[in-house]
Amino acid sequence: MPEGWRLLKTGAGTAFWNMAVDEAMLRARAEGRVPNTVRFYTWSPSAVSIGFFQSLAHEVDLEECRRLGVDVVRRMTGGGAVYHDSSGEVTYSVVVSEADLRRLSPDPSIQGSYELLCSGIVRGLRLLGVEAEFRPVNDILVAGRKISGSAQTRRGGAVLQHGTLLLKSDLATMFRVLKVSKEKLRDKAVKAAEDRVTNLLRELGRELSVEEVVEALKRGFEEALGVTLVEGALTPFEVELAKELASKYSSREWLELR
Amino acid sequence: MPRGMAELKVPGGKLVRAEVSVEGGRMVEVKITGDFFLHPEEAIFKLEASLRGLSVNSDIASAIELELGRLKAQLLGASPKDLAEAVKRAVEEAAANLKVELGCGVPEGAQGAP
Repeated sequence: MPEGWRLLKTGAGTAFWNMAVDEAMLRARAEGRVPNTVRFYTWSPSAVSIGFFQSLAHEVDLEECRRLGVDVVRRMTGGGAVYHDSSGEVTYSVVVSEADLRRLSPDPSIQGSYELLCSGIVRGLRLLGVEAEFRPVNDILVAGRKISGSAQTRRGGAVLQHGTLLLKSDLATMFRVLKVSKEKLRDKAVKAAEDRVTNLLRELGRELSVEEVVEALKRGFEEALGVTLVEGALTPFEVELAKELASKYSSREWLELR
Repeated sequence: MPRGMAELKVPGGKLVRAEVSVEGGRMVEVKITGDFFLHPEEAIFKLEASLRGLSVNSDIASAIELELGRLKAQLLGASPKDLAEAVKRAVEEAAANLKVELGCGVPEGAQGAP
């Protein structure tokens, strides 16, 4: 009988609430208050999230975001800027104790744990009929094109990994809200954006519902990790903590940290 | 105070950007940003602080490596050498900006009112 992990389907949330819930889950897991958890969610309104180490001024066109009603949030995790379209992607997060992760992972390094947790997404994609592969550090590709990116952090003996899976792309909006570095463009100019990223609509030729994708990813994680995901809810502790953290995530100080 | 900025693209895709200000041959401000990973994240502030006051001619890569080791911090997606290279290029740009500020390197006749 495989061990049970908690499954959370928290639906659509604001950028600030979404990031607050992930951090609350991580802290609650570190304190041993909640089981290992896989959460699925979407973003409403659409939002940009930037990595912990990124320079807000260099990455995001704030004026354009204001015009389009797109929220901007800094994550607690590193990695790059992501445009989270309210109807174009599904986001997952996993919290797991480092001890359990070491037990599950053949490679206990941070890089190894990315690969292990991403294998849930890779398996889920395969269940949907899409052959995908993990590419270090933190990407999942379909035939060389990126369909999913993840980011990880650790606190007090627990790990949080969250990431996005593209259902369809709104590249026009993405390029309006994100400032693409000249240095990055130089390297990638050879390939247009359409050649570098892909999504489920493009790979499968049909539009999938969020529910259908979440079901496949749930099974993907179950198979990859050898666990059973049992649907549950956030604990009152997590909800209260998330409310506090949401004000951090929506503050200027946090957004303009770097 | 001359400031400089440099962006470095790491093979594999990550970007490292350094912003520095230099005074009297020393770095007085250093900011390293980008889409790399560093565990624990807060180590970035101590790392930047450790570079403040360093001579622009010092071995920046070794300084970064030493401090990351001291902090038991782990970089992912970029190496200490990548960070150091970005900082060095930013310092060079600050030096170039200083020359412009001082009017050096500007062709004769190009400065001053006619």
